[in-house]
Amino acid sequence: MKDEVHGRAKAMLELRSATFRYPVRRPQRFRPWATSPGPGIRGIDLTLSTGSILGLVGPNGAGKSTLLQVMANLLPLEDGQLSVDNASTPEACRAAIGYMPESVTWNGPGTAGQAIERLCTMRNIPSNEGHELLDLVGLDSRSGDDLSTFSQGMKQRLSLAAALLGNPQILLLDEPLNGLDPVAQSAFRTLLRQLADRGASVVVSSHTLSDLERLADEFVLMHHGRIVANGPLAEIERDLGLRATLEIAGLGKAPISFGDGIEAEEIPLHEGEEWAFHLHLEKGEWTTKRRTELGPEITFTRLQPVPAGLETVISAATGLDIEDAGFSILSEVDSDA
Amino acid sequence: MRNRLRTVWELSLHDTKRHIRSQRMLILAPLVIFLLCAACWGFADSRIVPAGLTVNSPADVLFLSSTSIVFICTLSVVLLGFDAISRRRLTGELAMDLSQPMPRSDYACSQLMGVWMAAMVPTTIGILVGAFLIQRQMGEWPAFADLAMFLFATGLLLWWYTSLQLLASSLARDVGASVTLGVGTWLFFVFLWLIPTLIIAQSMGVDVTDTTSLAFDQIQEKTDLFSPNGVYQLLMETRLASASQPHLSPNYIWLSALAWFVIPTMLFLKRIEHMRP
Repeated sequence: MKDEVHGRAKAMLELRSATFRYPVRRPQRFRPWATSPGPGIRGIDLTLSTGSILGLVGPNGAGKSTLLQVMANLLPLEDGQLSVDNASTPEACRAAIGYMPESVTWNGPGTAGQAIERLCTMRNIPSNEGHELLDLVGLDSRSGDDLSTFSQGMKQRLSLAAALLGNPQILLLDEPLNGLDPVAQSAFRTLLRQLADRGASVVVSSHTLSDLERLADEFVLMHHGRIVANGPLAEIERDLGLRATLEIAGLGKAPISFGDGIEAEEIPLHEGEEWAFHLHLEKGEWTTKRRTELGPEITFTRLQPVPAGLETVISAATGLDIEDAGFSILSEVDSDA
Repeated sequence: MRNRLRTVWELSLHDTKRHIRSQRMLILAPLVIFLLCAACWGFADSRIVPAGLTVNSPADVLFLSSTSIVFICTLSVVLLGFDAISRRRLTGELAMDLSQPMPRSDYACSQLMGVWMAAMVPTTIGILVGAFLIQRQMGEWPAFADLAMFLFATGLLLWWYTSLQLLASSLARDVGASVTLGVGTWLFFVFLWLIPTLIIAQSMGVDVTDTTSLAFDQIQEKTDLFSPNGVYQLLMETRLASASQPHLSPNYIWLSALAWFVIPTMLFLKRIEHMRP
């Protein structure tokens, strides 16, 4: 399978047939240390281009973090190739990459300022650059505070500042929105968009599609260590034959019918609304023209597309039932043995 | 190369400061300094030296005081370093560290130096204050060569324990396992080493009921080459009067010291090179 994310600019990072599997202990009678290949990623082909934000989505255990660690040069490839633009050594690759692991619990002892200065030393950059990044993520006033006094959201911001050190061209962010309040999430999205506009290639992982739908240009859906679909979300949904859904609500008399090929489903009302529906298209997408055709005389209070849930997309991509798509991860190790 | 060395040095300074600021250092440092000072003060006073021990010079006092190094300073290395790698691995900080553009071998060296320098700070203070106390008690300063050898051998011993402890910390799957590995190694070399020595002596037909015999002494020196504490004691004995010097050639002792320096350090470096965060 060849899955490529075609960017509008040059490729920054390329993975070809990348495979990495964690060794799982399988003690045998005379070989108690024996291991066999377990879960991981297999045969991944992926190209990251400049100026794009790629959403890496999949259920728990799909291989998102492993893929990010492989791209960050933290895990050795069992098979396949990783190449980073203009980098010939692992150190040069890592210099071009900023990696934010999932939920770093900065423990100290020490302050945020000291933690970032330590990483500046490792990157061979002046420590004032680190303090500027603390300012950027809103931690400048707390840089002298002990890390043990930090909330999870503050720790996430510190991790983001750490990932931005050295102005990396590739940003790999593992579940970066965890623990951030809505305001910080919004600021975070704006910051990532600005970085992408400046030419950075950003990869953001999440186990919920809705986290990334307003952020990512393209998506990669992972399941069982493989890419099951990729591209813009609408394209993925269309390719998988998922019905496009529009959420509408309004005032006045409720429309009786919406036309051929549209199935209406009543949904709960918000305050002040007199009717609300989910409109499922049997074919095609909710283009602007189609939305206008719903009725120029209707007063809408809500009119927004409803993205398919991750479980629906995964289920459609893999052909598994929704429950199986989630829990079949657990049987992965056994099926590999 | 110069740039790499500077980065290693600066990172190890960061880590040294972090270890020194830690809560456990607040407990360990006074204990180490107090015990070293008390040992130097006590062994320098001929009235209170335990029976059977003769103290003729400051070098003898330093040698006897080295027992406290073996007990408390090595333990302080274990307690400072047991979570140096394992905890960072659990908190995700190791992944952040290893994703930086720094060669992993350099990172490993800086981690070793960070713990080692932190352990050496109270130890050096204790030794220097101890030398002053010896002068107060005996009216004579330890010879510079004796003091330098004491510091150097102590530094080597603490480096050996640092590399062993960090290796254990990198191998352990959790902090508890790391403590167990570190304390277990310390217990084995500090308290249990006599058992393998006795077994070897017995199997070679040496009378183990007479531990003061020349034959037992020679076997013990040879087996001590395989223990960091034993090599440390042998190094310290080389500074004593000729009657108390080891029977082994100093070349073997230095070779063993070198092996203890190189082997655990290389094992730790290799471990970090291939480590998955």
